[in-house]
Amino acid sequence: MAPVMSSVTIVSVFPGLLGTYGDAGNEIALAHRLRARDLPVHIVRVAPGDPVPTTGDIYLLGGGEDRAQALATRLTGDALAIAAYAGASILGVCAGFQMLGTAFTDSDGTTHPGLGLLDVVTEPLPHRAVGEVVAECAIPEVGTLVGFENHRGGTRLGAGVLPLAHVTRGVGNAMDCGSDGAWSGRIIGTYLHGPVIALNPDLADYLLSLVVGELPPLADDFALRARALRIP
Amino acid sequence: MHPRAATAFARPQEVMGQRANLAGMGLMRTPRLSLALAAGSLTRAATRVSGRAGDGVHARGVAIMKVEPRAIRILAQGRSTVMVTGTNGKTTATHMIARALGDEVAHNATGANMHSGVVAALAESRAPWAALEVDELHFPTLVAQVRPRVVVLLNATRDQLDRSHEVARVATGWERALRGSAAMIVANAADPHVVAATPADRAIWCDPGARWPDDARTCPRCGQLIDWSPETWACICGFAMPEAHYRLDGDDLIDLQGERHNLCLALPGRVNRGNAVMAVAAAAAMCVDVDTALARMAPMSEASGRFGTYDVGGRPARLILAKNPAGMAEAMDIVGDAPLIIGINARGVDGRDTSWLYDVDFASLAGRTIGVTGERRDDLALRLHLAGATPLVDADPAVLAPRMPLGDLCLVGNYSNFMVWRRGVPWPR
Repeated sequence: MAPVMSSVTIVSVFPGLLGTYGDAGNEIALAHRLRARDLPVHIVRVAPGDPVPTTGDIYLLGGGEDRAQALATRLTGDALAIAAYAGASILGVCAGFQMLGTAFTDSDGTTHPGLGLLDVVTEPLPHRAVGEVVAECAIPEVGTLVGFENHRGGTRLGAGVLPLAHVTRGVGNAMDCGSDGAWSGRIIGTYLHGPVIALNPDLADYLLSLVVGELPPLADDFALRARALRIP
Repeated sequence: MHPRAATAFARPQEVMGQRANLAGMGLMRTPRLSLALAAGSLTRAATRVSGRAGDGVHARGVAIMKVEPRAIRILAQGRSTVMVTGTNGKTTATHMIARALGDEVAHNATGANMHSGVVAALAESRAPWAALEVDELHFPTLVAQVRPRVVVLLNATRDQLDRSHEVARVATGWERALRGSAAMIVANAADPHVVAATPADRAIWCDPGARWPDDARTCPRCGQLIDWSPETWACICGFAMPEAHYRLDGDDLIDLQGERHNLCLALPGRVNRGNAVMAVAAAAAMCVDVDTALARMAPMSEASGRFGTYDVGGRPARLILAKNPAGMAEAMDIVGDAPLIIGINARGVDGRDTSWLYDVDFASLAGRTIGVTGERRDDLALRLHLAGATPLVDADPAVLAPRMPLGDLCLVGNYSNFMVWRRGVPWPR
């Protein structure tokens, strides 16, 4: 399929609230990989309090503290469900992943309804999971994912999703045997910061290909060297 | 005069009814404490002779507390202490305060800011005044032991998220600790976490100029969205930026009588003008008038290596410590378009996660050649490449320096890089 030449709209959902762990880099890296191929990109950063647009192509949700996560979920409302129904792709990282689920319980024990886009439920873990993660991605041709996890929530996957990756180093979802994240059609959740899109160009290209179709290869020596630090 | 400030204008010996003179402090040195101090001196000497890393401060402090666990409490008694905490600027602001207070000041000048460093500084000097910087997570226990007369809360932003706590939890710890303290609090009014931690009836509010909304989007009181404008912030619950008693206005400090004082600092950058505002307010709460404090602080050109000029590969380079997004943003403000080398490590003291580099706006580096070093130079090179810069990568900054463009070179690094660099050769003045 030939690339669509209209611009790709990337929506960063409340980066002010969901931007604690460098996940702004996901938007930067996606935009870089589009521009490097001469594909036009349109970036929308939604300020808290402003409505989330429903016509974007790719939505990005990052990590955040408990209060910010609960507030971001309330402020998002139905916007992501509408966008997903229209065919948008969504990547949620850490708090952003938990928000995409049906419910999440914070460290105070309060359970909040999630956005209901992934069949997952999150509960607090006894200990924080912190450290480098290496995982084999279930999405064909994405390969090894690397990143850094830092979370107190454990996530249980329901029947409606697949695990995103099998963890070979680190904790990930913690609730089942060795998975990280969840995957259902065009909606992806993961615990990996890093940022995950900057460190994993093949995952970046998978997300972009959902919008523009097959992409020409693009070598990124800088990403390769940063990955080599992490892959044994 | 600010009505509350008057209560802070007491001589050291009158504070909280304690007698503070050198003879009085001598009387409090119990045999056990004397033994502890002797053990500390021995340990320090042994550390130095054995040539192990560090200057022996930590080892000395640990030895003292092993023999006399109450050493901090005893040694701090009867002194007038300013205790400084916050995520960024502790060392520089505490150096400014120590200078402003004059010659008789106990000061943990090297930045050893946990219990061992504090006890070593207090053991080192019998001065009636103390200026102590304190790690933000150790602040609650140290404030209870030292019982400072003045506390300075600089800021609370994210820092080393893999090992420290989320910002809101750090600030909650401060708030609880200050409830049980009688200190006056010189507090950054522009930082909602600091304001939430500060008992308003003992606050001396400062506006150091800088705004960092990224780590305070939600209200520490009610969890709703904070409304940030360029000048001020407020939440619909009523929690809002207090009116500052001391504030930065361009290159000037405006004091609580509304008088304007030109800062004229040898240290560079807006961040240091902001630190100076907080330091002057702290000195004023210790009865040092503003002009005296400023005259004593102005010539200061470095603080334990921070902002000092060193020989890097045969070139003069200014060292700047930047260990988190807020600190790196201030560093970029100081660097401007000067040639730049950045070094990033991810050891325990640095935080093991380098993701924070993406929370810094490096747009000002686009199109420029930037030297990249440190153990995580490959992570930094990727970040700067994505920002549109051209990374020049090498493990050794001395190799990079001669290859950098002409101009006043800056060497910016996070903690464990900086600690190595500052042991280098200072550039001759």
